[in-house]
Amino acid sequence: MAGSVCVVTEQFDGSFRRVSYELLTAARRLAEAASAEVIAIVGPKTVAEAGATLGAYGANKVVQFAGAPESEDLSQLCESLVPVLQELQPMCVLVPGTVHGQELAGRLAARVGAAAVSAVLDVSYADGALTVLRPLYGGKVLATVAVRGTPAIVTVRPNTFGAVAGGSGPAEGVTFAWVPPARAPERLHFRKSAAGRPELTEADIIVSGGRGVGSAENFRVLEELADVLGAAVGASRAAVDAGWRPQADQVGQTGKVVSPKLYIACGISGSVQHWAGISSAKCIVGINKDPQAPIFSRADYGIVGDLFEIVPELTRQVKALKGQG
Amino acid sequence: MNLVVAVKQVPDTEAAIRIAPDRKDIDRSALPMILNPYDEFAVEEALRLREAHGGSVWVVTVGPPAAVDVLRTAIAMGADDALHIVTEHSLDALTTAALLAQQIKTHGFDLVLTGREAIDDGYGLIAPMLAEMLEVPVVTLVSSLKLEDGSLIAERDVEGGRETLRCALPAVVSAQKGLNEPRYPSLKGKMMAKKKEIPTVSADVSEAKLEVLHLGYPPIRSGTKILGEGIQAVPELVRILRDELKVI
Repeated sequence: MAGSVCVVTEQFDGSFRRVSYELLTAARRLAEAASAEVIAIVGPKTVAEAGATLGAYGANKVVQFAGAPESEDLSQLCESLVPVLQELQPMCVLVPGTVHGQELAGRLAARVGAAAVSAVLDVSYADGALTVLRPLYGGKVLATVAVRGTPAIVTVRPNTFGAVAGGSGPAEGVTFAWVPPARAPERLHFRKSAAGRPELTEADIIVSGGRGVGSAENFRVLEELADVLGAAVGASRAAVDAGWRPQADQVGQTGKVVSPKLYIACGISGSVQHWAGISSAKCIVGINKDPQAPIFSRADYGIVGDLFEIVPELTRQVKALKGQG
Repeated sequence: MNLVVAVKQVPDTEAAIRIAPDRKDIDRSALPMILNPYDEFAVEEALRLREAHGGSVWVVTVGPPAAVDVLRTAIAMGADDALHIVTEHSLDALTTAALLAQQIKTHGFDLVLTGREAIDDGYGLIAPMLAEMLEVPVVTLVSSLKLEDGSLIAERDVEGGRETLRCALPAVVSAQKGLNEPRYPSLKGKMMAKKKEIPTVSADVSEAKLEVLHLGYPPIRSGTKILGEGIQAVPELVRILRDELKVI
């Protein structure tokens, strides 16, 4: 029997990121198949109610680090995790596929000589082996891969799995000593994104604009729709390269890979490179003047026409439905 | 400055990818290959750092014999020297990082640059693995970089904001789009790159930690349902958002 499945949780602004609960949900499935227990790792910053919060998603134990700094930066956790892995010998460690999480996963794998795979779409355990499904070539191919040896270090992008509560009550707390990072860069400054809109990689809905939006100012039309839907605003490479939106907003092969429930592509033709960033969206709606645009061969729904008429009308009707009109 | 850039040869983003009959790999015949786009940013940044601070740019790749082309591309852009670690098949990230680290240690470095990820396997793990193996700090996804008094100051977008980080050299960084605009190789550069002797070493690869069981194509969406033209189509879309997707 493999003893445990570890989940590295991540915090932002004083609460757990949703990806932490998504990973616990996936870990629960794995642990059931392997008759193992689920161990959540919290840190660097300690959380008083972690046992109850993470227990609700299936953590049996919660590891925290005594003497750790008040930092939410996961990349500082590598040295502290080494003794934890030595003691617990988990079959795998699930890590958020965020910027800090990816950095941690790579360093940890090198440190303990473990196999690491990133951006998995599915993870399963059968006959004593861990198998993952992951995209290759910008999602044109899906690979089913067996991961040999323990612990397997696996990163999962936010929004890949649903977060479903379920557990046997509060998790038991376990304390390890904090080991300061040997070689951490020093953070000089952090400029928080303007509040109000969700993070692209975590958003359930994304309203995205491309060349057809025409200017930076015109993105306001998309922002208004995003705000009534509680959505994030994304952009195609064309819109970013034109200087209408910052690089951080770019969705696609050279931008972010997103997995929202709903992706509304406005004035985006739908190149293969853009598709690489949105192929795991559950529903894609294309709004484009050109009935021949490639987006209309791959989206789930399409409306042909002028986005500057359609998007404001959509905003108006959603507002009316929500009683904000 | 002793600048090292780790690069990879990948299929062109536009290329149609076909799975080989054994379903363990893709059909690599007649596949157009390019220098990984993210690695172009890394090469360009190294050239700019050399222009500003002096030194040399050494480019290294792990890949099959044909991957020498990406080293020639980097030399045509302006890199000084290169090394080709020859392997026959694709490797997992940890094995690749170990091969790179071994050669980079021997060569010496002030700064190692590589792309944020390779667009073929998309691991995005090489930079932190390399840093750990070389026992130096790492900053991934850098979109602005400058050197001050033997330290690097880097900016990057993370979930929820933008960080400015400082770390001492030697270090490893991975390049994100937005860091710079990669130059095109000059004609003179191309001529030089053609003639350049590129040393090779064969990789000694022990057992791989990952085994591809099979490859498949992603499920095909059922096709686009056109809801209509112009604002007449909006009520139907609103109905779908409310009743089927339940997002309103």
